[in-house]
Amino acid sequence: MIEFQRSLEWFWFLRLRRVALTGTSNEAGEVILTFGRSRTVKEFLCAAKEKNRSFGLFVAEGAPKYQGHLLAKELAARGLQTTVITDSAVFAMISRVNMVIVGVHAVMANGGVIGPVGLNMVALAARKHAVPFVVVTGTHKLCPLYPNNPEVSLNEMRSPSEVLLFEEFSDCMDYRIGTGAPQLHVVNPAFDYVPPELVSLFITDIGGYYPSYMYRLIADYYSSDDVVIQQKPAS
Amino acid sequence: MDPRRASRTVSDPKIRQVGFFAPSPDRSFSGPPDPISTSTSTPNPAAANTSSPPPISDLSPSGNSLSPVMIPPPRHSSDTTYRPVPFPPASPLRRDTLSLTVGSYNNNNIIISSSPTASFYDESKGITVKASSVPASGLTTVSVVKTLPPGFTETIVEKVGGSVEMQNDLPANSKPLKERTSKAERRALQEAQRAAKAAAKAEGSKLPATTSGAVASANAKPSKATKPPSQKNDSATVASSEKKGSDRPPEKDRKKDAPHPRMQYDDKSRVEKAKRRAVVKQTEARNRVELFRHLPQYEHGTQLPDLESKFFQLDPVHPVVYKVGLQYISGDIAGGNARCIAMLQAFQEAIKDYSTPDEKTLTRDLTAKINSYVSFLNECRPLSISMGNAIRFLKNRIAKLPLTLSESEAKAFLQSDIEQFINEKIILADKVIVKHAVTKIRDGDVLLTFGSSSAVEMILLHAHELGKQFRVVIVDSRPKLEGQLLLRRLVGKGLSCTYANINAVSYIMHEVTRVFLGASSVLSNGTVYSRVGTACVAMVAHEFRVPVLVCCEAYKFHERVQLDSICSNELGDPDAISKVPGREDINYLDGCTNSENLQLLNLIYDATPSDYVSMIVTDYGMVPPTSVPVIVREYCRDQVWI
Repeated sequence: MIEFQRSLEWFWFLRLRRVALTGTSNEAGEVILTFGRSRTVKEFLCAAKEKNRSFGLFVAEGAPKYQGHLLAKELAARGLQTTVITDSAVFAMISRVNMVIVGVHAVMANGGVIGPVGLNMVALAARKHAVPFVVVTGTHKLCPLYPNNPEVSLNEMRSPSEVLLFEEFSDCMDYRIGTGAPQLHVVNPAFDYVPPELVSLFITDIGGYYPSYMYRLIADYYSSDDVVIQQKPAS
Repeated sequence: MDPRRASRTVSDPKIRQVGFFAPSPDRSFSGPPDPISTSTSTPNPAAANTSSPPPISDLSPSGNSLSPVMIPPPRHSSDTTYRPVPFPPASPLRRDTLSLTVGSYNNNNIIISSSPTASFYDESKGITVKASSVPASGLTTVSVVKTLPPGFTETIVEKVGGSVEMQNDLPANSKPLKERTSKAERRALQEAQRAAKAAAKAEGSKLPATTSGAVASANAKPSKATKPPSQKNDSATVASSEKKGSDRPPEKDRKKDAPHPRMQYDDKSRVEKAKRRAVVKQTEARNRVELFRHLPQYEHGTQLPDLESKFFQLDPVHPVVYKVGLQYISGDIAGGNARCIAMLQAFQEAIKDYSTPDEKTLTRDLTAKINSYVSFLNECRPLSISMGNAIRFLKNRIAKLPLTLSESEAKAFLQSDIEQFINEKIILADKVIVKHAVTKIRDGDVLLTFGSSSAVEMILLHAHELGKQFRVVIVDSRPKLEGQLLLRRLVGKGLSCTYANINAVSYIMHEVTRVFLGASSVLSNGTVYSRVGTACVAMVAHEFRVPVLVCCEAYKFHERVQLDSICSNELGDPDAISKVPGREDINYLDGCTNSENLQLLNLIYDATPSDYVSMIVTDYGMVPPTSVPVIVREYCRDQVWI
């Protein structure tokens, strides 16, 4: 919790300066878009609300887990103006959004992130509309690995039943094409890789950083044995 | 992003083609494009005049006609009569085309296969309402209109021939066309008429039919939004004294007609006015998203039982139109082509049953009736752009009817016109699109499509019939989950399919070679207006350097422009977002619709920028997005509905 507070202070420090310059306190204020449900983001936004910043919020539901619904409900209960949209509407709505704030599963050594599936789409849309894509994370999520083929190697395939109902398509499971391979595949990855070019800012408990800096933090939190692979002497 | 393409099929480096060239169908697809087609550019203007109409002529297997990616020059100069003369030479060509394609791609096959699918759905008790009824968002005519006679293909040929004969007769007794009166003159006349009408409202005497008839013949073509031209040259008092009821619909609907259903709903007075004359009683949604205040948001599910009870009492609306409206509300008919065809066929029925009241002209009264039907359908579900174009076409035809025709002849003409529109602009156009697009599919391709588009489905099925080896990836999104219907149909036909949610599109795009998308409309700045989520898919495809082909019939093009998805859209039922079918554990939002801080937004459409689209496949050929305004201007104007 302390980490969250500190990261929040950093962030609003950067923001406050700009607001002070313009002299206006935002009425409808900022419009923020978030994806799925991250507890970090939730605490972040609630703390911002307590400081009487007014902002509107779009929450993309984050299929197939639909955690966005839960986040929206929690935030609405705390008094934030929330709108739930489907993931497909992200491109349509992002032109009206000032900032995208998301939480992620892991931060890789090159500054890329592993997040919930669909995050890459959001990041691309944000870049197209020149909307800052801000990742809020604690340093415990930092990972010394470089992502090589992350879609496959750093991913997890979940059950197709989350995407396609078994009762409706049970008959199709038996169809086979000529070679005997099943005719119907269902793809349900759990994670998505977002390359560092798409991330505008990392907000951590020790401050705000640009993605290319993240590899320096690894030295603070990981022993060099984890980072450098020593060749075992041949015995 | 790193370009991930390692090796591509390389065309012969000695022959360098500039621009797009589709290989001729009798060659193998890995061979170099036919060098003869390079010479098509020069003889085109000459060829276009002799071989007609150009959009169909490029189907002939020889390479001496237009290549499919070149837009044929329009045939303005001598074609000022509203029945284009080159129709007779067209029909044998069209018949050949039909017989060409009938063999390989037969509507009958589709009819037969879709009905077992539909019954299968009933047996397995599809979960959503849509699933248990006709799989409507699929093929256009076939899945929706089950009353099609089995000899459908024969009917097309006869009708084309039949309508050709009738059109040959018409130029003989066509009315002389006058130069368009200037806008200022028309405006002045209208103001005078309106003032006089307000003065003479109490009279309620009828306009003598003969004078208006004689006058109508001398007028230029009407624009879609103004009153019927017959009133222009009447004296003010005579013109104004129309019966109230029939006069108000054209006047009030003029506002709605002008860019079709785009009334701004944040204007209170207009909303009140619209409510007063509404047939369908809509209750506004309680929790409206601020950003979309200019679009109508209604509570879903409230109109249907109310309308069903009124089915036998509803006098002003023809029962077939009423039925179609109900089908729109319930979602039984969905998809641009299906909705348009259903509406046009309902209008055909209504015209068949129509009889002109005494002392009224057919053109004006029928136009008023059509307007009332259109506003009813608009209340059921906002019109799509394809429907708007079709309505404009129909009103144009009604207004151009020569007044020497008897009522039954006029009705027969209109019915055949509608039939011809459906056949040429939708059914035949789809065949042409399939023929073009199939050339872009090679063995070993992985094709991605989003949602369920009738045109894309036809392309995939046709390519499969031709024996090409490819895989299909179907990307689907909430809340409609239309991709599941497409998935079932394709798997039933034997295609190897992969299904994914739209969130997984970044994951799956690595293996995809082509993306085929459907469209509800393509706007004049090249923006593709389509199901929400299409923009996301196109964007990710662009990022991975995968070509995106949009398949859209030309009648759906519109001269409107749009930059984002907010200024014009359709809002669906917000409850569809909170409920996830089949996943009972996802119930976080139950009962949350009343919370004042929480809104649910269910967008139906979105706008894909033209830079994400590589090519648009239309019945006029395969064109880049920049050519859309050219097609709109040259081919979709009122007088040149080829």
